[in-house]
Amino acid sequence: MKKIVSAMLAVAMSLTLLAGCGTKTTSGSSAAGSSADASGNTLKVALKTEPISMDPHVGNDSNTSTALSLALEGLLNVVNGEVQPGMAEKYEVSDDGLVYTFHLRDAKWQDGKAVTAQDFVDTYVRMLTRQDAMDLAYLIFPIKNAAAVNEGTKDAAELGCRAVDEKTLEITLEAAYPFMVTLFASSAMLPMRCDLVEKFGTAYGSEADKFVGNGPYILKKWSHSDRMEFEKNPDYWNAQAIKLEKITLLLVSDDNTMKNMYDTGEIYFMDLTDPAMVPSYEKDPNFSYYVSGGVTFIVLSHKGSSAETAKITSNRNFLMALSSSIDREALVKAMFPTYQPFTGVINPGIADGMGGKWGDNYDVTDQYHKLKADPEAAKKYIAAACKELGYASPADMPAFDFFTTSGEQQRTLCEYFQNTWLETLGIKANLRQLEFAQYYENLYGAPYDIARTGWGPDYDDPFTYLDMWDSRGGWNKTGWVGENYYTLITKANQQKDPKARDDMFFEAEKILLTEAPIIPLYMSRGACVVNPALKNVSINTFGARFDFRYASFS
Amino acid sequence: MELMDLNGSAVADPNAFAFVGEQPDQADRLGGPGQTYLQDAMRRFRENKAAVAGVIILCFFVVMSFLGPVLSGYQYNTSNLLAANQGVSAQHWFGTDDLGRDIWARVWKGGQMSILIGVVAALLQGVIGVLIGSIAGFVGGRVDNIIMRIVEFLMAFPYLVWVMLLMMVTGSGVFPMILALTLTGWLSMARLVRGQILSLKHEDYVVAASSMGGGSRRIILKHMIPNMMGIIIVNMTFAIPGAIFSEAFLSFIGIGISSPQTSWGLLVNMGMKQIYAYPTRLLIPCVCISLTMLSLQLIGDGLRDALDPKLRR
Amino acid sequence: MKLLKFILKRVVVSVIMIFCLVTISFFLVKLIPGSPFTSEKMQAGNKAAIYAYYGLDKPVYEQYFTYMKNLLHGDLGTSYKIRGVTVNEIIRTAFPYSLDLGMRAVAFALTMGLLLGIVAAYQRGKAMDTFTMIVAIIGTSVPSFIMGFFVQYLFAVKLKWFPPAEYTSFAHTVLPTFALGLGMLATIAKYTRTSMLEVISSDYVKTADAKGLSKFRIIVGHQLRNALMPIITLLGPMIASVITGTFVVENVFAIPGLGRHYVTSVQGLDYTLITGLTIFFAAFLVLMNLLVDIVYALIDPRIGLVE
Repeated sequence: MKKIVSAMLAVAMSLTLLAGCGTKTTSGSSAAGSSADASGNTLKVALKTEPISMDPHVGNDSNTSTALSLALEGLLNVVNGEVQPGMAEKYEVSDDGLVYTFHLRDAKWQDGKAVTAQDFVDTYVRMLTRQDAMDLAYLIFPIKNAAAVNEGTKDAAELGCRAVDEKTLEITLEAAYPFMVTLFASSAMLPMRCDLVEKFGTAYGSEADKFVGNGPYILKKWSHSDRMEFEKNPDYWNAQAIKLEKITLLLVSDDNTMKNMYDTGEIYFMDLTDPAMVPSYEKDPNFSYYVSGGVTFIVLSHKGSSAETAKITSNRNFLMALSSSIDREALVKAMFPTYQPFTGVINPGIADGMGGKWGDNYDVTDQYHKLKADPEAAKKYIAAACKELGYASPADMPAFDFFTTSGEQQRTLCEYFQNTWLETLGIKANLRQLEFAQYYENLYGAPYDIARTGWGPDYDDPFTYLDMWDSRGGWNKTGWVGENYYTLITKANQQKDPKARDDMFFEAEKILLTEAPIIPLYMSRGACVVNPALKNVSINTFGARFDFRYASFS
Repeated sequence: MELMDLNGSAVADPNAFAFVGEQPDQADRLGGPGQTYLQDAMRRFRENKAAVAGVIILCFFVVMSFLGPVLSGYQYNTSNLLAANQGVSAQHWFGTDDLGRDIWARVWKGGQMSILIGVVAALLQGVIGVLIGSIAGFVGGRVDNIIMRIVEFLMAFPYLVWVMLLMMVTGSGVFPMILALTLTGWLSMARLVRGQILSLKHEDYVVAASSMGGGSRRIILKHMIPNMMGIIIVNMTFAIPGAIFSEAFLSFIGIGISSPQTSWGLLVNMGMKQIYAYPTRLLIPCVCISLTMLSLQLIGDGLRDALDPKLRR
Repeated sequence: MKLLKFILKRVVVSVIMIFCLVTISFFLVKLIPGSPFTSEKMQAGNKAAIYAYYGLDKPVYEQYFTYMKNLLHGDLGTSYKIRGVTVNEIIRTAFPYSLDLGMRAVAFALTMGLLLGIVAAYQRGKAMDTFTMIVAIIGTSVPSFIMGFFVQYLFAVKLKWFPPAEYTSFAHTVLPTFALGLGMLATIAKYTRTSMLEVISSDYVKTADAKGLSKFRIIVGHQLRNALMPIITLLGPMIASVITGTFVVENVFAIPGLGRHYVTSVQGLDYTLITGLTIFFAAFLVLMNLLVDIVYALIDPRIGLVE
């Protein structure tokens, strides 16, 4: 008996060995795949996080928009920052700027069905009324009655979005927003096949076979947490401009692994999401920066984690003490050499109404908040705060709950604030690093005192940086209510004259900098490296962050 | 003058001996001073070069982790942005990090934390394990059955999955981590102790002691504990690197201790992100972790050999 | 017959254990603060709608019964974060990768570990012994995430012997197998060496030697089989450590296995995926322990069967 068992064990062991040695038959690319891939016209791109869904209403992070831009096409496209025709051959705007009429081209979904105006109407109605994912519904609130439809106070039929005929789409707006063109070209307004949604339910867009696109590429295979494989769509209206036969998006979550893959020629493009990677490539001729538009703040909660801290965090001198003890310039130089220190609310790189950049005419740099630290001023501010609040010294104040997201860099960053505030002001902050999901849950419901938060623009207009501080929306999580601020931005959006509108936005920005509980920190900047063999990658601030549709190998 | 035998070796001079008379009380004595079990173990441990090297390395790290931060004159958490990202220099012996904090001070402060977590978690695991294991072993019967089923059941959870879940529930921090590591780590010790007690119960000398009327108190103190001590100590020595590893792993995936505290696992994790720009930030804590692990394993191996009664001469 | 009864008993115990594991994981995951459905820009009203959609607004015990009912049909639910994809589907696609990697690592560690251990025992104090000890020391004192990175950097970036990441051909599997298996290899080599040394000096081996048996027959027939005993007991916990080891290795080598899913689901508070994967891991481990118990009982009749 014992002998047989040992023999069995030996067999079992050699079996595992055999199994271990047998090669798996997966997509079949070889170890030296890079060169073969290049000649075979296949592009491999690594992404740090997986695209969330091919359902355009579920996620709008930059990687999701990259995947969406390959397989779906909206009314308009953005290529290298310029708006180009997409499904709409041309469009007209009414004189009052309220009505947009799009004329769709003869295009087909990948299953052969024609793309119609009704597809777009159904998509937007669904976006506002669906129950399972409404994170992004607010993005189309500029459309007439969209907010009311979303709240359920108005019927979907009243939405300002109408199919005049099969190929004509008419969209009516709440106000004459000047930024609509970039919004129409963004991934939030991509069309979807609502007839298939009924068939697949929430699984729509979750797998290659549960999705139908109309873009330059067809999603052939999606193996989750692994890769997405796209192949050229021969029926795409602009197919002759599409050079690559195949594009593979590969999920590589580790930054070092991604770098190693780029350095060994496994991938041809790399987005440097971690500023720590930048020094390795800064001198590389294939390295470039791009505008991401992101801004980072510290916010104070007027509700506080307790009644006592709420009083302190609502105090203006306290906020200024925190702000002026921070050395933005040195901090950015030491930690994020590719970023820029920031002392405003609106990113100066965003388009103003007069065809230029916001920063051309409106500048608050170094005015309300300073670029360099001023410990003397900080001490005066904190002394004033103590006096107003009745503390003998800052040491008598309770410790504050300081929330931030996880990640080494966030940790280091917030340890700087923690340490600086303690040494300059004598203020204690307990840092709590939370996973993203827990972090936002806390900002919504649970009490907090101080939080580090960031914001990226949704469309090319200063308003995208302002509407988040509207206290009526769910996005201002500070408890700060600015009645005059709200009236001002509502009035600004009704202005016909772009200069008058921008002037009012500037006033609104000043209100935020003098009244709202926010401390601006820095503006982020994107960086990427592209293998010289790869041409025509379109990098955009709005729309698809990285668009590979016109890419080709030299 | 020295007496020689036929082979030329020195022989004892018979004149050097004297008759001491009859001493019946000494008749049973063996020659040479008696060595207690512990003395003997210590002697054998000292002869083990690898183990002694382990002790020296470990002592170095323990002493440095308390002395190191003082020596450099810098606080581990004081940032100085103007001195950020410096290389090795006379002011900063290991350079500075991206907030201009002294890496020397941070490494040793991190060592304090890692060693603290390792030792406390291992001790708590040991105490709980010994307690529950001995209850199961001594009481036996139904109690034993229930306890062992629970232990077996908890063992079915993949260890780190369990720790991760607990850390998610309690939040990050030193005490949650020690708690999570303790709650999951006592199982093997309990099993071991129970097994030891069960087998010791049937050892001849225990049976003899109890049949000669030795109370259970005497049996436990005189026979069981000395015989189990070795294996318990060895097990605890091996539990320390286990806990340090787990701490490093948890920090690596982002659920570790809370700021501004630091640990080797955290420093490795931070260094990992900056390996290409600043390789020393990874290498230094890496070497520290690895050498501490090494020393603890050498000590554990040495202790196991030294305390093994079978190897006693 | 006795064997059958033993196996049956162990199976029943395992089923009860898995039931308890499911219950505990379910409630533990519910205790985690935070919510899976949050993003910067979502409005509070929308959140309530999503909660209702996924049944998260019902009392916890009701959610538990629904979950258990579905589980009886083998349904682990739908992931919250990987939209519309069922946990079953995720496990079905990801587990083969983890299993493949795990088996390669175990096979590699077992063969190399046993070989090194035996050779070291025979060459005690010589070069091979020292080499084995060095391997054992490196394998047990360098954390796997550091090992993974160094292996990738050295063999893929500097020497260009193997591709740096992905898991599509044999060449791709070499580095992750090595990184994952090294720790286990070290432990096995160390234990094999120790138990071989004990066996070599035992009486029955001396007898066999005196009888003039060939060296090969002595090693395989007498020494190895007895030296294997402690290794088999090690296998259960070792497979568990392989599972958790894959968390890191899969991340470093961009392998789409379960470990990577587990880490991301914990970070994203994907309740159903955390619960589902915990249950799967635990059930897998229970099964492995069951197998090890049975094998051990078969090999060593002194234990197990006489209960």
